[in-house]
Amino acid sequence: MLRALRAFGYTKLRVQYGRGKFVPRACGEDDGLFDEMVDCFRFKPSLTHDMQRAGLIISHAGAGSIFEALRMGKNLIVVINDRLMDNHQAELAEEMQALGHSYAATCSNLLDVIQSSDFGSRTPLSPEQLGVIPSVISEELRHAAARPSQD
Amino acid sequence: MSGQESDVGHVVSAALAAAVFLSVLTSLCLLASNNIRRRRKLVARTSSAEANMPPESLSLDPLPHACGNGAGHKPTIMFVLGSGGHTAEMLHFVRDWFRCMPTFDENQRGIAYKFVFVVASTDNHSEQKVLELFKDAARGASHVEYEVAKIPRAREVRQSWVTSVFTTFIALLSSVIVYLKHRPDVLVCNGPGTCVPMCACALFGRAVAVATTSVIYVESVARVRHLSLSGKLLYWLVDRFIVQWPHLQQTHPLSEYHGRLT
Repeated sequence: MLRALRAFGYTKLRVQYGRGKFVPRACGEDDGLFDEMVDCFRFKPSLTHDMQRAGLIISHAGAGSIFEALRMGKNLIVVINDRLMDNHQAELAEEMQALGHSYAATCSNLLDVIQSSDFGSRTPLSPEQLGVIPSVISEELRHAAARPSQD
Repeated sequence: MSGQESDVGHVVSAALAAAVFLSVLTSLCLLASNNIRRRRKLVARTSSAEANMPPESLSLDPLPHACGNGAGHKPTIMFVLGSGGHTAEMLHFVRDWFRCMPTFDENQRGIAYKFVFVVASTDNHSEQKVLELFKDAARGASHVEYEVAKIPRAREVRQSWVTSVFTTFIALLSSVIVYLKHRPDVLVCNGPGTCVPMCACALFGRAVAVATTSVIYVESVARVRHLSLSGKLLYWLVDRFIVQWPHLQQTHPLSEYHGRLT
């Protein structure tokens, strides 16, 4: 995997691996082999700064991370956890791939996806619609005021 | 000891069942009127604009001043925050509000709105985010007074069934108390579990005319092809049901689609 990333010209891999029991092999203390390339941490409240410096983002399928990365115009590969039941996250990842915004992968084919990815032909994400919710709220405030009340 | 406990359990679950039954009943009464309104609105929209109406045709007046339940009551907007993703999405809408209302003249009118954020009492993260948002938006948000209301969680992880009946009841009760205290004019929620009892309060409250709350439900952008459980429950009950993917609008004709909102 690291070799594949290096072949694409990536020089640094920053890993947020969470607060669980699992520690990635490359982040383990006794593994000096990848020290120069790999930089690990458990958790940061915001990854915005790290995302801005990244050339490629490999993310879980949470909507927050996906849209944050795409809004920055970053190359994104979304890894689906296929062991989850009722997996609405997979739907989102596949929809984003179908629309040409990002690639979807699973843990088993991530390497293939990295090697076959072509980000030059991806379509950028259009900006979100602003002002919709405020106007719906002000419409509904008017409806609420028009309703009879008891005081 | 155990007999006593199960007796208490029975009483509590009976009370709970009664409360649920009552709210379902009144909600059903409201359902007809809400849906008629929604259908009429949607027909008007689809005939005026083509299938997907552009957001430009929504109105945005910085008015609702005559609003509220009697004198001295500021128009109150209640936002139900869930955890991580739900909170982030909801606060994006709040930020959007501040972006839309920048020209508000504070000298003339002072505080014009009250925002109430409902969070679970163990969720310090969401509360922190609210405080940060208002610190950042200090100038733009000067027309808004805000408050964070906490309600206990219905069920913690690994809690036993008998005690969770009790804590669910407490959670419901505190939703009712928070609701009655603020009597919001508009309730906005986007799908965490805590929003369902709050919506039930709002619909029930309106049925018995203690408040005039409108309920806006925004389905999370993470839902592409299927509604969340909260969405499925509330689809028939709320005043405005907004989805963020065109496919959902096609399968749920009473919803509105205005493009992706976050």
